[in-house]
Amino acid sequence: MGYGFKLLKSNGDVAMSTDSFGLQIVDDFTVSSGNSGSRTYSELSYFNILYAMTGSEYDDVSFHRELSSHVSLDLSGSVGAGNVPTVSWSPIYQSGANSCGETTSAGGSYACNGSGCQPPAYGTLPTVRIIVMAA
Amino acid sequence: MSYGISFTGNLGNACFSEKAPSVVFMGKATNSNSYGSSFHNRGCSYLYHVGYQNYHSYRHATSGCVGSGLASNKDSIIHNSSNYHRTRTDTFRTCVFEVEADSKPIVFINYSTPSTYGGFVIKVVDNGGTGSRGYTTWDITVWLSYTNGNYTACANSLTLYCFSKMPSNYTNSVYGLYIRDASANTMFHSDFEPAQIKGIIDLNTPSNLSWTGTFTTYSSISKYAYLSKDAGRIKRVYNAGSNSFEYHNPIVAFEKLSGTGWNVKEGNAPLFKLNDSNGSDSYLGDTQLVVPIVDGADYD
Repeated sequence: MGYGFKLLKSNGDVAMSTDSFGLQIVDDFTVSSGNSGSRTYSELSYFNILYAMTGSEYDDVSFHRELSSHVSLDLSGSVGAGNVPTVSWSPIYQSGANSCGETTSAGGSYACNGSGCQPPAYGTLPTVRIIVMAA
Repeated sequence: MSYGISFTGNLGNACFSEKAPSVVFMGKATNSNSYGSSFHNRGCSYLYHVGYQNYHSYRHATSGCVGSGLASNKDSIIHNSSNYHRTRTDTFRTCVFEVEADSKPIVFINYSTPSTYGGFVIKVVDNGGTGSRGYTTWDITVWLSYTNGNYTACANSLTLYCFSKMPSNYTNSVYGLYIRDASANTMFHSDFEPAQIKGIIDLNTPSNLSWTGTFTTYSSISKYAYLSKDAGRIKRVYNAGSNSFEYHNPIVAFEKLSGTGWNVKEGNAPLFKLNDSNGSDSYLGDTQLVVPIVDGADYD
């Protein structure tokens, strides 16, 4: 190799080199359905690649609430060179709905707010796993 | 950086450092290997019934299906509160795999026949067990994407490459390279193979229902394995037949094409619908989807 580094396994295979990159887990947590929030990672400003991913946790009774279980993630703030990354999340609402009065057999009704419409609370609320990774 | 150690790659990225635990390989799971993978026909309990159903009929249908394994009435006609009928088809089920990992796994999926089958992880839970290496065992539920009832073939086509955080208390210091943080937690150890990210699919916000983006590879890849993640997007699609919008949470699987080409495979499972005829087709949710890729051959 002309430059860079390689980390070899005992069998001679490359475990890591400058031709690829590793991942490091900065944070791994769950948020409750319908909630909003944010976290700031001031100690991680030197990372050059940072992103967040979601993984919804479903169960049989909560799957129907999927719409409100999802979160929209936003990774704001540039990374590297002293910038502070922030991960924020908010629930996804059905937009443009005009049938929020629809009722269910559970006796609930679809609730409206300024952002749209979401199913009524019923059963176990799902959680959403958020993983923040850096490289 | 003001102190510490960081190995930097060609992209200016940190390959590993003392700032955060590395993502390391813990093991792989298939539908037939000896380490505890198992198959469950649980998908019918919700995946059939949310399709084309509204909230009312979903609950009704669920009561006869949850826990009963494969529904005997699959492909049958069911009735919903709007007094019309839809035929269910056998297109979505789940498969549960078991793996051992120090912390909650992060899963990359390889599809042996990606043009035919796909899927992604929808649930990862501690199943209460302990594996042969002393780590926690986890149930990983994968939502399968297939046609014509070939769910077993779909499950058999998948290989899950499971990673987790570097075990913080791992202390073997006989030889090799290890990095610890200021609290003596192990952030990296060469006894554990790190995730080598060799490619990225970077998908942008769709202006309509089409995915756009780029596929970049940093090193040669022989066995593509994609980070399985929730797309974080709800797809809102107009159904002319019912004059309403359906809300889908599509399976997102990836198919490598020649060169740097790629294809996003979406399942077609309506989540539920409301009597909403206004608005337009759209995606809701994340504005960007970044999918790292590893080479499964590095871990076979």
